[in-house]
Amino acid sequence: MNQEEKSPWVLAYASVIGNGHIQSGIPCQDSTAHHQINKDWGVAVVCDGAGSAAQSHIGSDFVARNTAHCLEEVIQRCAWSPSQLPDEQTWRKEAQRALQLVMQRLMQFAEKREIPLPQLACTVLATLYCEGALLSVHIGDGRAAYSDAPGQWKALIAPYRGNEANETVFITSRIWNPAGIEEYIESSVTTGPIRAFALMSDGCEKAAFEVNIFDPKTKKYSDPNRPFPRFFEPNVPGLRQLYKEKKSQKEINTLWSGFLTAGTKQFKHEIDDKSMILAVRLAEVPQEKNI
Amino acid sequence: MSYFQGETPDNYEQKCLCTLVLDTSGSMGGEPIRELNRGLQEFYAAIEEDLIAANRLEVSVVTFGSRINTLQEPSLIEGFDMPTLGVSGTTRLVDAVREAMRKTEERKQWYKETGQPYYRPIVVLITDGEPDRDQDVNGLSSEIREAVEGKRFTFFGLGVKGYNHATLQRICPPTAPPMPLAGYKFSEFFKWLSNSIGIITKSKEGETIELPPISDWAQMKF
Repeated sequence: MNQEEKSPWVLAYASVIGNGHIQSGIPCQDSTAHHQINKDWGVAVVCDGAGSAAQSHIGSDFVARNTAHCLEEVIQRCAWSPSQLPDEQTWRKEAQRALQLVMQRLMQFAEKREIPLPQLACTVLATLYCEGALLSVHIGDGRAAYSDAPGQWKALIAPYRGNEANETVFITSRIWNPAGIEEYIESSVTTGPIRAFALMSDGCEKAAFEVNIFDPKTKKYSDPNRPFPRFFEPNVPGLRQLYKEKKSQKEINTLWSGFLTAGTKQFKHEIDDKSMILAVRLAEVPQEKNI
Repeated sequence: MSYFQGETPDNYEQKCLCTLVLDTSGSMGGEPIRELNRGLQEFYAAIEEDLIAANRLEVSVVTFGSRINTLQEPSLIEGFDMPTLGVSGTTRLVDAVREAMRKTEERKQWYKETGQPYYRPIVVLITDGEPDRDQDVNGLSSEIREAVEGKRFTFFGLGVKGYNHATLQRICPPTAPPMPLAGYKFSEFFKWLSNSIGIITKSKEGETIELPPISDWAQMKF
């Protein structure tokens, strides 16, 4: 029996190219990585390469894989379990250290391949997950959500946005000083009954989150960073059904790619690359815990 | 059977303002203005066909001859028809660009006040002539340079046959020198502009944007 089969979770993950990238002849610059660490823990990562950085598809792939690897090392070294979780401070320290290690590896990679580091610019959004907790860390934008009861979805992170709509920070940005690390690396420990969670690049946010809504009373727009349950909820039974039908991870991901490509009107017309990891517990969490 | 499906929330697009500052002085009469009008109509049609751009791009049109006219306040394509331009008068270029800069800043303030996310605005100057003698070219040059360096907007200057390259070079920021139009290839220029806007609104690092090649419409030797 392999590790994936032992897991109480079923996942779908994929990165698909956006219409703008197709028109401009540039590759998909998003990457996802997932690894089942042991029977308790898994790690999920989404990276979004900078549109203006020529080699950012290479950077996002490298950072996604290495972040998954470095966070797996954290779990093995710290021996955390669902009954022995880190506090916010401990996780923050470990997560910052892990991303710093990823950055060091990226610098070595850039030097070896003779690629200027800014050309590998990408955001990173990662979560270590287990039965009762999500340990999250991110640099830059993207969105993440989790559900603790049917129909209930909550934001897991707040994306970093600059003054302009296309401004964010990357792992390669000048943030690796004490003040920058504090300001630009966000981390959190979320505990409780987690029945599902999702990580995504910003190319998916308009399809899955309320991110720019208009209030006719105040005549103002705002970003409530609010996951849209009617987007997520129908996919929970869909994913469980695929597990019941014993579909392979590759088959599930292929179906998921199709959904991200043109499964909704927003996905169909989106110009940016789209990445999303959706993870669902196989068994529904007991509801009395939510009261 | 469809395993995956989902409803989409009602989100508004972030805005990108493009202000066109167009020379309609007497010297643009005849073929130049006919081709410019054709290019504008094609630009409008290209944006209209692109669902995302149509909801994202706001266009404003300022023309100048002896008078400065704001023919179109910033608006999504759905909110107006592209005007057909006529020609008359001299070349109050500096006053027109300043008016465009003022309107751009005003719109940005409105975006901020109403909480709308926005991309860096774009100001496009198209001219075939020499600004009138009383026009403060040096003052405008400093203002544009300061604004571009301060990332307040991106500036493109397009020179149409007969334009004064040295003057337009003084007006344009060093990072975006004047672009000389080959013949009257306005259609090709506007195609490039709509593609460039697409790239600008997709990019995450404004300072290192690589725009499409300009060889389809620019005169490379002058």
